[in-house]
Amino acid sequence: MVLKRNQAEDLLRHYFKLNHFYDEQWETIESLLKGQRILLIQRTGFGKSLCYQFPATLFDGTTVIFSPLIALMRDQVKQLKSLGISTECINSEQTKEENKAILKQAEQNRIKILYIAPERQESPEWLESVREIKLSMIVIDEAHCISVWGHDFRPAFRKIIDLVKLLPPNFPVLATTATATESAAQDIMQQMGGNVKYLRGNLLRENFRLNVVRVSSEDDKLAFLAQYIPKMEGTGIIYTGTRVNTEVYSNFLRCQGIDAINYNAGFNPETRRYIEEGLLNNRWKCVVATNALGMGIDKPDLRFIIHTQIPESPIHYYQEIGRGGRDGRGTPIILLYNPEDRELPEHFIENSRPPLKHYQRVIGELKNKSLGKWDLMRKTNLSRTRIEVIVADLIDQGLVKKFLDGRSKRYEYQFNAFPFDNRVFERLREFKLRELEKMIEYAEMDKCRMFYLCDYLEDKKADNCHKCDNCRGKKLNYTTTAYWQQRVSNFRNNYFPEIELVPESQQGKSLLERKSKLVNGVAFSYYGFSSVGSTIHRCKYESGDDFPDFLLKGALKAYQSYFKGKKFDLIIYVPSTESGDLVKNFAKKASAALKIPISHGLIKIRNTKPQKVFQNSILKRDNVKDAFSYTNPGEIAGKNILLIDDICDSKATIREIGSLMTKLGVNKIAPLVIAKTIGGDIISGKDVQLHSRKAAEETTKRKPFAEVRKSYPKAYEKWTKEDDELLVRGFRQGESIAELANYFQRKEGSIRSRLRKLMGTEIMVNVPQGSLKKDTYFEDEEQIYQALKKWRLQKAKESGLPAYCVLPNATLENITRAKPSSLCDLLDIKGLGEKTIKKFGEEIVEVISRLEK
Amino acid sequence: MEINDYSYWITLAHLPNWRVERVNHLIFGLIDRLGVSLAEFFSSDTSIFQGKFHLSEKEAKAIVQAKENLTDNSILVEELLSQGFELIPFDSPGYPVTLKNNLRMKYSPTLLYVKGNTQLFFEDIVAIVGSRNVSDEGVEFTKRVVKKWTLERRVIVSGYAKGVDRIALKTAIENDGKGIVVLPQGILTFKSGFKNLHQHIIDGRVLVVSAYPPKAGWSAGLAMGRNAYIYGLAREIYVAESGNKGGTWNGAIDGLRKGRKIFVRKATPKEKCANNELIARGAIAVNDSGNVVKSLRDYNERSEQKTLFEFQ
Ligand SMILES: Nc1ncnc2c1ncn2[C@@H]1O[C@H](COP(=O)(O)OP(=O)(O)O)[C@@H](O)[C@H]1O
Ligand SMILES: [Mg+2]
Ligand SMILES: [Zn+2]
Repeated sequence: MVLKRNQAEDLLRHYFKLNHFYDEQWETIESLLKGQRILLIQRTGFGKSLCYQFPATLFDGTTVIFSPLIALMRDQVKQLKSLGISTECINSEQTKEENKAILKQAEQNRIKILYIAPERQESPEWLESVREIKLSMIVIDEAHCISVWGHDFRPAFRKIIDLVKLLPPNFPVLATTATATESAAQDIMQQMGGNVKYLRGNLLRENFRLNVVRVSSEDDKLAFLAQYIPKMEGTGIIYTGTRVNTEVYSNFLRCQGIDAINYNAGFNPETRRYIEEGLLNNRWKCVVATNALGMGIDKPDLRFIIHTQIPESPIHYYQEIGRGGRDGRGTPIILLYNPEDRELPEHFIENSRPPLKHYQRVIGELKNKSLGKWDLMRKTNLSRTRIEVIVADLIDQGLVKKFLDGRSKRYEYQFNAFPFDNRVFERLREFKLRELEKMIEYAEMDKCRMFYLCDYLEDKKADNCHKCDNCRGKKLNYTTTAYWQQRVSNFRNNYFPEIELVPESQQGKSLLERKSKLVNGVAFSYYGFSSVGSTIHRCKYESGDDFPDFLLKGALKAYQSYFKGKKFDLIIYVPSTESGDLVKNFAKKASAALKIPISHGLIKIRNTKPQKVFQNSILKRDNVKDAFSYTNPGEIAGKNILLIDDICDSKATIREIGSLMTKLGVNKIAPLVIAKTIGGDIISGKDVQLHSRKAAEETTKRKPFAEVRKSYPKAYEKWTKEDDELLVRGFRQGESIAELANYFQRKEGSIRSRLRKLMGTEIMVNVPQGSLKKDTYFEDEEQIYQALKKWRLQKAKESGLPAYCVLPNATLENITRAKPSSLCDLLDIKGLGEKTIKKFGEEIVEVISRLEK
Repeated sequence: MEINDYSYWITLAHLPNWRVERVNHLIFGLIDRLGVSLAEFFSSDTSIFQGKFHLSEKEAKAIVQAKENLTDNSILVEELLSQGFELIPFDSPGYPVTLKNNLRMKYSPTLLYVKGNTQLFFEDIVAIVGSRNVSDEGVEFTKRVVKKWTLERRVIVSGYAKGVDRIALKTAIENDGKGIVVLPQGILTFKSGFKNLHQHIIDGRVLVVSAYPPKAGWSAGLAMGRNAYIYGLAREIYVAESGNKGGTWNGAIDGLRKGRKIFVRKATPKEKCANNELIARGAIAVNDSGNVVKSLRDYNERSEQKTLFEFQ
């Protein structure tokens, strides 16, 4: 396609209401029109989208844009539609029905620009449609996700690359990102199949005022924030290293009168969207978040970015601060740095890959039999995240392939596969440790910090910035004053995490209306906070001594502060598997102090294993299912019960007991525990660090189904309304019938009919009979064909006509393939008119259904 | 072989209304004689197709048309590879030599789609075919000979039809042997079959092969066509039981016409099958254990001559 720049800009004005291209934009566009492959690296806000949106409108066919950011897709679709360009997106937030309708349109070449989340590539709908779509160009947004050397590698991008490699050489492909080091860029280009044009602009913004503030404790950080945030102009983001700290920091700031809210990947999509929108509208002074916040936040005037934890590498850091000051105004960028903080990123790096034996465990199971994800979780006792990481690596190495079995995904071991090779992980680990050193160097050096980052990003930059702390000759140290130390201590002593058990859907209802009588409770502390976790651990597994008094005092305080005036009639406690009488003794002391009678009626009727040995929620649930009983049910009917335990991890135990108590007719049951974990898993003693933001990221890229389920306490019992909600939600998220059936441990048929009942026509459209039938292939298609032929012969004899006049062979073949099970199904079959169906329909269906039996 | 080329191979292999011989010659000419890659070929235009590559006007037109499918076929290749299927083009070292020798350029499929242990192509392969509604004698024969071959480490090739085909494969697997299944349909439409065979594929005991467009559904025509591939893959061909028409019969007659040596179980006079008619038309009679029947009175003139000729 030959188009001069001035001609193109005429079109630009007409269609996009913009006057000129930037030079780099035009260079990109010109190359795409020539059918080249391009990697474009430009800072956020540069205008990368136009580089593909414009040529997309010129091509005959559909441009497909792979983008991991649903929020961004939504915005761009809206914007392009308002310009009159037919644009749609396929993502997990839309129903299957909506996605399908869009794909149908694309097949008819009625969509110019189609956004799709990389994960969606594996959906059967997409697989069926994509070859029918006339593709004109492929765009990979956030292309750094392709590379393991980048800061945010995502396995779902692999499939795009696999496709790009196979496309004809003159097919235009554009990869864009705002964040890639030189080595990641080289890797991306190589993966795109070589022969890629490389365009790279300057990434850093000159308006940043970079600062590093040395501190020597967590308390220092809290105090610093409380003291300085009120002095900051506008709205900003505070990044923490862990999910638990988003909660702690924001609570602390609120206690100090600062309008703060927390955000992390554990939140459901609605909440996340609410906070993202609130941030855009300056609803709070600051949002305290893990790095789950930011990608796709397009706010020009974030006035400050503060990190309370050193990131893993300068590229991570660049990515996170890059969200500040897009309007070009001076923006303070602060890193609170305690040299000890390196432990957290080190921990991530060391644990970013599961140990070799876990890989072997998975390989062993798959060699035996191909399994789906849930089955693998059950069989290997590994967490969902682990399984996902392992399976992605095995697929990458060609040991395992994912295949669709009907509509459910299974992993299949490949005969002939090369043995598993974990040396690449070793190289990756070393690389990441080197990157961390560079970040530490940034924090500790005394030269211009801007210069250092530019150099790292290979930006062209000659001079010092004159704005950073080092250029200004200021060494920034912060130590808490006595006044602030006191405020921090007060907070620490009076802040108790809530244990949430009542699902959202039930929160508005009164206790009477609710089916489950289990209500929210409280913990003294987080497991990872100060010495609480390690103390519990020591008592349980080492000394065997009773829990020390400070834990009791803490728990009592939590009780007072949380339950305030509420009355309880009876204390019960969770009978222990392995800690002997620790919990019992603890409960006795609590009972004495609170003057609430204690009962020893709750007992275990079968042995359970300690919950912590189970790495995923399915097994934890199975472990405690029907494990408890109550010896004297009469004494608890109608009572308000306080349930005491040491650690609340997956909540599965509390829920199991809650449901038992509900059955026995209690009025209310609430938990009081010593420590609550965040993120599910406990690893001995080792603090907050476990609940890594990485893990947080991984588990909730797309709100995992298990998480959704976890928030429904009653879902583990008989079929409930919550199960219904969950089922519909899972279905809308694109889980297959088979997978849902597996999850709920029900037959596919009953899941299907439940869905049909719940969703009425929607499901009829989503899961039409015809496509469901495809799951149940007949043993032998030829058998059907022969049976039909036999039937036809008989008809022919009866009517005295030649056989082909009854029905031609081609039609018999069509019927064979379609395997109709009702008259309606016959309507879709080529060669069968209404007349024929009236005449023979019943018989044809009969012939086939006879075979099916 | 570059995987990038697979979409070209698919495009060529399933050119509508082209004879496979023409396609094979075209590719052979390009790669071996002219040293032109398929990518280069496909980037050419009509005049070059007709000039440098000596295509007729009609052919050139067909190729230009087929270029439209390249992108779609790339997507198809990705789907196939990601699900663990392999593609074996005619010119690749992995292409079964026996098939090529038996079917030559004239009939050898341009491209094979496979899943499983591809080494089986290079082992001693023996085919067994027979009707779907096989008699007890046929069943017994199949079981006995397959078991014997399995002990001799031979690989059994068959279709996946009811009757002899399934019995043969089952017997082979039960006796720790190996089998090749040749599909009467595209490899992506064999889902239930893969479900059943899955474990054996993982274990390297079974190889599934298709020569048809991956998404092609089963059809009677394809089912007929694949018989030639079963015959082509095997060093020896055995017929357990045949009627006097239908797939087995046609396949065997076709094989005889092409000069293949075909062993047929000799039927007793009581049986209704057409085995002995095949023997009358030149097939070699074997007894219940699969051994050639030597007694002269079992032969009619033609097969006698042929056998004598064989023995020379
Ligand atoms: N040539 C241009 N002239 C004026 N504004 C532009 C031009 N190109 C892009 N923009 C604007 O710049 C903003 C950022 O563009 P976007 O594509 O979202 O950036 P990026 O993807 O690079 O972060 C958009 O509001 C867009 O309309
Ligand atoms: Mg962008
Ligand atoms: Zn500086």
